[in-house]
Amino acid sequence: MARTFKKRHGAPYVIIEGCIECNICVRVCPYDAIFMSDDFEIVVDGAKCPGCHRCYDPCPVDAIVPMDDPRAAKIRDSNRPFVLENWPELLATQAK
Amino acid sequence: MKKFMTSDELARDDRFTRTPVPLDFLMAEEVTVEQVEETMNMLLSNNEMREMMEEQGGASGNLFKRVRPTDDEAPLFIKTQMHGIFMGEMQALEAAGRSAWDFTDDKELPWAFQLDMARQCWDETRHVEIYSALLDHVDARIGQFPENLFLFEFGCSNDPAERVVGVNRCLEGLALDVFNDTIRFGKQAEDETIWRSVDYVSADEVTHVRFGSVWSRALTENDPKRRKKVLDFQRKVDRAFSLGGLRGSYDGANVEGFLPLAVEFRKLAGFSDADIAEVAGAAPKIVKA
Repeated sequence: MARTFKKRHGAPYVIIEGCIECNICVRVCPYDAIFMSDDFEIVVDGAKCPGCHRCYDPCPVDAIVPMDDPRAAKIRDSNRPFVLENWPELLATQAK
Repeated sequence: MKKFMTSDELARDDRFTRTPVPLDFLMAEEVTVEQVEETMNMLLSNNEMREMMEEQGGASGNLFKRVRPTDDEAPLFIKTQMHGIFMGEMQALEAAGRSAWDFTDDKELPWAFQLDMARQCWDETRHVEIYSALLDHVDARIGQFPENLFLFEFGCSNDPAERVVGVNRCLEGLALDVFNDTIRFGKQAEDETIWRSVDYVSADEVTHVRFGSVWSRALTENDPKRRKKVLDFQRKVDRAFSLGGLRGSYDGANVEGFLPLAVEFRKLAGFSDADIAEVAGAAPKIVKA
């Protein structure tokens, strides 16, 4: 069973251009929020990602960033369908 | 020259001792901590090997503990770590060499494939030399610990798309994890030779993983059936390379896992129902018996 998060820590993460599909982020994610698609591209499911940051440091090519990071503008097309549009509102709710 | 060699055909001189590949253990869906220890004992059932390990001060003492430079086990840990990486680099060199040669009759493969594999061989050769020097640095020697050929055994499929996934994604991905851990140890120990050398090698591994991603995608383009087969193969190899769940295992039974996945935390082991999450859950679950 994957762990489900109770509190959002920050913006959900996304995969940007430059990912080499090394799979490390998939293995370190405690929430099963990161997976490899059938097209061999790693994507982050925004609905499952609480922004815990654990995937950030292990990435050898800095290709996984929070959505509020300017680099997120380079999001890969394969990750776009999994972007959680209302995360700021959810984060504000959680903060209360 | 022969094509498609098996792991037991790899050449080694008399400095090396081999342990059998624990196939059942590596492919298990779920293992207990006791089973992990049993498997280690099975590997040591060979008298020569047992004596060898006893001489070193034990074989599995570090399995459930994250060793720090100040720990008593630290000297043995760094020796086994360096030796394990050295053997891994040897097998990666052999695997990349086989990839460059095994598929030369395959008309589907462009010359660029052979070039990339040759480039990897060149890198791996340097890595073997670097780790040989690092073995000297930590006062260990080649052949001091037994070798297990499971990296080559699982990584080398006879299908080129599976081969690049097994060797370049799974094996080299494992290397990235192990290197991160070794760099952490080196920095804690303030041993600049260790962490700078390993960091230098790490940069090459990124390129090798990228080769795997590029070629696995290219070779399965417009062929969903083959792509699914290759993805299944990746799950199988990732499961084997999770070392029975020890690699980055996260539950209470193994809070101080011996091979943390690059960051200090533990993931709840297990699998979700969705096929796709199965990829994420390649490691079998470790349970307390």
